[in-house]
Amino acid sequence: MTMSNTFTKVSRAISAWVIEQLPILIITFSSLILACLSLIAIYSTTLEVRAVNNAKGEMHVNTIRSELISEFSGILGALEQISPPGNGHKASTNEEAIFNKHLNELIKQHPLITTVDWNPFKEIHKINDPHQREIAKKSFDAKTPTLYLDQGRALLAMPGTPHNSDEATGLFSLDINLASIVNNATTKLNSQSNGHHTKITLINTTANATQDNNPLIPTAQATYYSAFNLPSPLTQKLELEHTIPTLEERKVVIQRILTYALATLLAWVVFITMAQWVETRYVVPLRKITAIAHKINAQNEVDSNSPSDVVDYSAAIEKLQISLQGFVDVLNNTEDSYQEKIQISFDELNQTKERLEQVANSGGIIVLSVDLVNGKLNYATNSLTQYLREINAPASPQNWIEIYNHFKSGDRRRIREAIRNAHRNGKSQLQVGLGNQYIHRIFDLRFQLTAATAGRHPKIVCIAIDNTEKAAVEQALMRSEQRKAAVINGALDGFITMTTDFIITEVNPAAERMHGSKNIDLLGKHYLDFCIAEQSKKQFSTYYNHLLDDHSNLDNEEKTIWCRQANGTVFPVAMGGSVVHTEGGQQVCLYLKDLTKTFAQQKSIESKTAEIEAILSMSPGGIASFPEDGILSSHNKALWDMLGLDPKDFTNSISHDKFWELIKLLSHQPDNKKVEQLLDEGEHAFIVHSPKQKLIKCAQRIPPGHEDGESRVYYFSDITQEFQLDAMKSNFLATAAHELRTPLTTILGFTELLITQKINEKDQKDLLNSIFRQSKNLSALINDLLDLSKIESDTANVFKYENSNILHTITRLYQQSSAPKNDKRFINNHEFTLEIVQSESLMVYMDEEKIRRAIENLISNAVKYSPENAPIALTVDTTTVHQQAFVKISITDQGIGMTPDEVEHAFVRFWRADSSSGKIPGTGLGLPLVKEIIDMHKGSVQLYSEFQAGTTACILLPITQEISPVSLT
Amino acid sequence: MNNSASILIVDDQDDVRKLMRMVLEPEGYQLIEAHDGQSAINQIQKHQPDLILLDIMMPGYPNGLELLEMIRRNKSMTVKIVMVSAKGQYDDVLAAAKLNCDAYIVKPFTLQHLLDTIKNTLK
Repeated sequence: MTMSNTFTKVSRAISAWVIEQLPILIITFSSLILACLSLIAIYSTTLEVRAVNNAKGEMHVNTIRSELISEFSGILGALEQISPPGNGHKASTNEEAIFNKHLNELIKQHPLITTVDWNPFKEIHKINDPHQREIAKKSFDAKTPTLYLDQGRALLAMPGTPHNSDEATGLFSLDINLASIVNNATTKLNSQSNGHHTKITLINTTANATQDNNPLIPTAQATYYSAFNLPSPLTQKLELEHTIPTLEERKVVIQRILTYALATLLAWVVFITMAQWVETRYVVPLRKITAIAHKINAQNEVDSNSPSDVVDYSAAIEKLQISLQGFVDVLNNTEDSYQEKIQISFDELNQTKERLEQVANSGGIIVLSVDLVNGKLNYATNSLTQYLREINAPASPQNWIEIYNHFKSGDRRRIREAIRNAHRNGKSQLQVGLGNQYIHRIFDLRFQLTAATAGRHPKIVCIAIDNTEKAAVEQALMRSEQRKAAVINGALDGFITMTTDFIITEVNPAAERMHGSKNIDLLGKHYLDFCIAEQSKKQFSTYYNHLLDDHSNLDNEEKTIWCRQANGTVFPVAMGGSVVHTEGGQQVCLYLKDLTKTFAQQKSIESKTAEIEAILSMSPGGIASFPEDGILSSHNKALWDMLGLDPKDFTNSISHDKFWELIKLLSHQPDNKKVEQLLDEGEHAFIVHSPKQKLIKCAQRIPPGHEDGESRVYYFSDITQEFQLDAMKSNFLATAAHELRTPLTTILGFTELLITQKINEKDQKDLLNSIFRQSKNLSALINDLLDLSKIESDTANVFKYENSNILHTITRLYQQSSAPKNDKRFINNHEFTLEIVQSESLMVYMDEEKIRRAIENLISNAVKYSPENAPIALTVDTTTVHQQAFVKISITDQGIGMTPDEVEHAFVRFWRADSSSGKIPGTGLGLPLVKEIIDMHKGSVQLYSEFQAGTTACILLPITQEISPVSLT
Repeated sequence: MNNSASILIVDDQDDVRKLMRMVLEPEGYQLIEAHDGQSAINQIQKHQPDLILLDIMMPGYPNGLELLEMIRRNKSMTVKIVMVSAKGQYDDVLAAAKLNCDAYIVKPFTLQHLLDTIKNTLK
């Protein structure tokens, strides 16, 4: 305050002084500036004129110089043309006359030549002019033309040579009026120089410049030049003498000075106008505003909290009121002390009033000061008048009663009460409405008592604040509150509010429904005791305390809590909560979402999942399913068995990519084209190595409804057997073709020979025998194939069963298949023995032909796989398995034997023990055929083999001897 | 006839060898026989024939293809080899061709075809 006061005072004093002294200041400043400017004008003008004249002078000097040079060269040229009169002594008059005539012509042509004389060499000393004489001597010595330059005069001496002679005979001596050229030029220059008096002085700058630093050529110091070698700076410098400035120059200077003076004056006027404008427009209001701001600030430093918008608003109003009160106080005090303290100026009073008016106007505030004794309106802001005008009331009330009458009777009573209160307590306030049918405003009235001072009545200050807008805001707030309530009541989720000690204060209908109780039953109940199920009480309490402790962070967290209905039914809810600060302290709002349905759905999903798991576990193929997240979800044991892995080995979840990486690691790609034939579109196969090498086919399915998504299901099936069977089939076809072609080769070949060539009878028979044998082979092979395919297809009944003694069959077979040699029997080179342990007849219900084929096949195998000379034994015995009697037929060889793996595959159709080497021919149908045949007889075939040591093939056939002949008939 | 070339017939089937002999003998060829791979090697070393008629499926080691490979590995031998086999599938022929046989006759064959092939191969 003191700062701003000082500032105000000082600035005021300065501005007053400035305004008082303004004319003198302006004159002084202006004269000073003008003087400076005049000097500048004169100086600059002089410089300009000089520069112009120098340039002109230079030009003239150049002109003069070139004129001089041309003059000289002209003269010299002319002189050369003139032939001097011979020796001089012998000159004839005629000659002399012509010579003189030439000289006269020369003078006529060159008016600058004053005199021209011809002096023979002998007469040089006779020349009168000392300068002329001097240069003549120089010229004679140098035998060249010589020039003498003087101020305004040039003397020239030039040797002259007659036409008829080679030597110069004398000298021409010329006097040239240099000054006339210079004068002419000067006159010409001055006539062109706007009246300047310019004097041109010829100065020789080259000659003798060092002698006395005087560049002027003094008359005494004549300088001699060779006339053909004129110094270039003949006249190098002009001296301009400036006397008094010309009239025109003076005019220019005065014009400039006047212009400057005018500009200065104008600048001053503009400056002063601007200053005044700025003062009235900005500085004064700024000063006022600053003062108001200071006052308000001082008043407001008391309280600066503003918790919410609404509070803000009322606080602001309150502050405003307080500051207004301050204004009125000042006003009153000022008025009070007016009489005593006359030194306080009206100004200040008026200023205060003015500020009050400003504030009152801008804030929709009316301020009144009323004499409490007689009701006289001591003071009222203009806003009162405006407002009264608005409601069409008489505009300038003099007494409080005039205003008072505008209120309704009910409000009047309240106002009276308030004034009384103010009188008692110093201040009071109330809210009243005022207006007519068009305008209605709500005012916050505040009364403040100003105590009576000596000789003055007590006054009451009434501040009326237009609160219409605030009231509207409050109403809007209320509506918003109602809307919120509507939302909460209509919500599907439950809302419950309670005090911090669990007493329920509010329940929305959804929460009522959840808890199965009426609002009225729940209100006031202890929420923890009444509504929370036993198993969740602890959890809820923890959560609740957490909420109270750290309510800001848990607003959005949901908890699953089990709640209890009044009848004891328990239901799950997701719970969220927040803490609200209200007038009545903290309130806890809980948000409840019924999870009963969700839980039921979850259960149904769980049971479905279990069902799917069960189905998966029964699938022979491996299944791996990757939902959208790409993490393996469903899979079965078959999958892991197939891959030779244990799912327990994986602690983490398996992603789609990781799964395939794993498979890549465990497998390799088959490079067999035949594998591709087993695959459909979109399928692929790989070979795993552990625990056994397996060929696995993988088919991918996209679950319906997930065509766009990332969800994938894979089905893995073991196609090893399928593949092997397929391979065996094609292998068989190739082998069978070979087996068929071999006999055909000879049959066809021999037949062709017989047809095309003449062959003797013996050979013919031989060939026909061969043909016959091979045909039989072919036939047998075809029978084999047909039989097998028939048995395989099981479509035709190819067996003709009857009870026969198998011993007969075997003995016959033994006899037929071998040849006698040295009391022994041989098949090729193999010794073949037959041992019948049980010599009684062994009756078997059988197709004899087929059994014979079976045994023959086994014998043939024994022969095929035995080395040369290895014996083969056929044994017939009986045995009992499960109380059933069997005949046991064994064929034992000492051949190459079989590995256990080979034994295992021996009965698989199309399989051959050494199909790869192709050394031993065969259809690969022998053993399968045997097995089919024996199986049809309810018997069994077994192979006992040791690799590289030999094989025993056993056939067990059920014996039917117990069956009596009676029963047979 | 100017067929003095020597031919080795390798086949495990007596009838086949007999047939070939009966066809080729009147043509003037010198004929040698072997009934399996091992004896064929002995005969080759002994007689150094100009051409071999080689069956593929024979008992013991080597079989026809193995023998063919063996002979072709020996760069000094220029003997012509005609495979005569009942294996007539594309893969079989390709396998033999890869081992650089000179011709391949599939059983059963016509006698003229056998003669032509031998004649062409010996040219």
